[in-house]
Amino acid sequence: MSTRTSAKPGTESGTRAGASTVVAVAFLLAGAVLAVGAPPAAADDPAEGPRGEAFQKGNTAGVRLTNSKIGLSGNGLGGKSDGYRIPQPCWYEPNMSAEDMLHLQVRERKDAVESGNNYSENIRDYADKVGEKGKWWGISYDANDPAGAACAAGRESTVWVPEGTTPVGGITAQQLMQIARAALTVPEPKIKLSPDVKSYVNLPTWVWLDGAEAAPRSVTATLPGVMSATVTATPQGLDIDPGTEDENRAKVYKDCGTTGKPYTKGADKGDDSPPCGVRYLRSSIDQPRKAYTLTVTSVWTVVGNDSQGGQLNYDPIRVSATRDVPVGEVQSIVKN
Amino acid sequence: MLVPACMLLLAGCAVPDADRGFTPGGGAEPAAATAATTATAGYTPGTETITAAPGLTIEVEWPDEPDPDRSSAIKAFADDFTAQWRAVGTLGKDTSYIKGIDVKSPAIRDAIAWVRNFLDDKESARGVAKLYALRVPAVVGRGAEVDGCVDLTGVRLTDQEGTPLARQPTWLKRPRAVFLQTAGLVHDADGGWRIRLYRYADHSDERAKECLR
Repeated sequence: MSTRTSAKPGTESGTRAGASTVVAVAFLLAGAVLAVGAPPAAADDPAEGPRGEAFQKGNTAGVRLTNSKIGLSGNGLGGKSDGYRIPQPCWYEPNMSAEDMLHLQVRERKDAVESGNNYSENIRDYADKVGEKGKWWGISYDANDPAGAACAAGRESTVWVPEGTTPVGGITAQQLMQIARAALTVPEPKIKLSPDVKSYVNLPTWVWLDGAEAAPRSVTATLPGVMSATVTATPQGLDIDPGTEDENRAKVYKDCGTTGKPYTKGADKGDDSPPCGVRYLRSSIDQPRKAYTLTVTSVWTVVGNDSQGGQLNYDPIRVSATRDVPVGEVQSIVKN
Repeated sequence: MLVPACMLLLAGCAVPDADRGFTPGGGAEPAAATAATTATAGYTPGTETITAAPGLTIEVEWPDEPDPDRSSAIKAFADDFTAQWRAVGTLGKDTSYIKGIDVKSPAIRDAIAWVRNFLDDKESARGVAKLYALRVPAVVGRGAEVDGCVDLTGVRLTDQEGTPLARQPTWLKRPRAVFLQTAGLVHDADGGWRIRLYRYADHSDERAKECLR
């Protein structure tokens, strides 16, 4: 059936900022064709149960632009999202000329009649626009937003927009920036520790992040030939939560920079203290699972700019990861 | 003319049931046949068997949805589902499903193509199609999303005389026959709901796993 042919693999769901098990892969539909204006697919497939377009599969998601010509690009796609959602998850985009829309409607009407459906849509609504300056705009939405489909369904599927004007709810540079922001993801911190598997009372534990987390991440949303907006996340720093609030149990060292300091022999501060890490002062034997739960939170500043000179500072993105750190005691006997 | 309608919608408040955990069967209460009646929507919570066409029935598990707007959206969704199977079961003679769809929306193409596909192949259907775990996960302004689980394992593809085909398609067998169907609907000025878009999650999608029983 024609509806099945538009099915695409994909996903859904997101999580809140700061959650350790977060989201998201952004799905790209760069240059996607507006389904609003697309002709029906050929009915050359066997009949099938569902109707409409398939959700994307999996359990990770950034944004999924539906019926949209907006393209997404940048190295900020495909990592961990903070679950940011576009304030208005549906919007209008320029779609097709009056002539093209009329041809489409006539063709669809013909198909419908041939199927025995003589529904009473008034073709004249479309014919009257031929010769006028302007375009039909179509409704687009983020299908990964739980409110996206409901938002789109609540608005007319297409609206006629005279040349030089923008309809209420039409795409703007600010909306484009919000789409880029929702698509932006940052990598989940991969915690590296030294010592790695088990620590001991009074032994300094170095903490740093693995990989390329120090590089800025950005996403650019582009409405081809019209405007674009870029949102960039830059690593700002690390927060370390040793898993206990008792100062007699752990001391945190906060000279972490953006990614912490990898352990190297002789690189301590001269007093056996790490620049970035934690020194546990009590055994973890009395803790749940007999380990402290160390949480490292990577903090990213987020700034958006659009091609019309607009700029917006967003709340920082905070993504966390946790590791259990068992801390043992070394018993020693001093003989005189 | 269109602008005022859009302005109304801009102030729409999103009420999505986001971040809900996995619940077998979708988490919707399956229709224990209580005395409660969702009067405004025109259904009683519980299981109802509706004859769509000779030998073709739709088994709908109506949820206990106390909100009248949401329950009427659910009713519109289920009515549309039933009406399209009615079109298939009557070999296209019954086209009443058009009434539940906004004819200026993409949904009209999807629905006509879905029905026409049976007709072009000179096929019909018999058996029982089940619709359950009906719910409204989001309402935004005049729009709403309705989700429902579909089980087509009880449906048999037939020729136009009603004789089951020797080879039944895979989409009528597990796992493909169980999936999540969703729709976006608009609340019309006359108080009714009309469908404007369809989406679905097939058996391999995390969302459809909510439909497993």
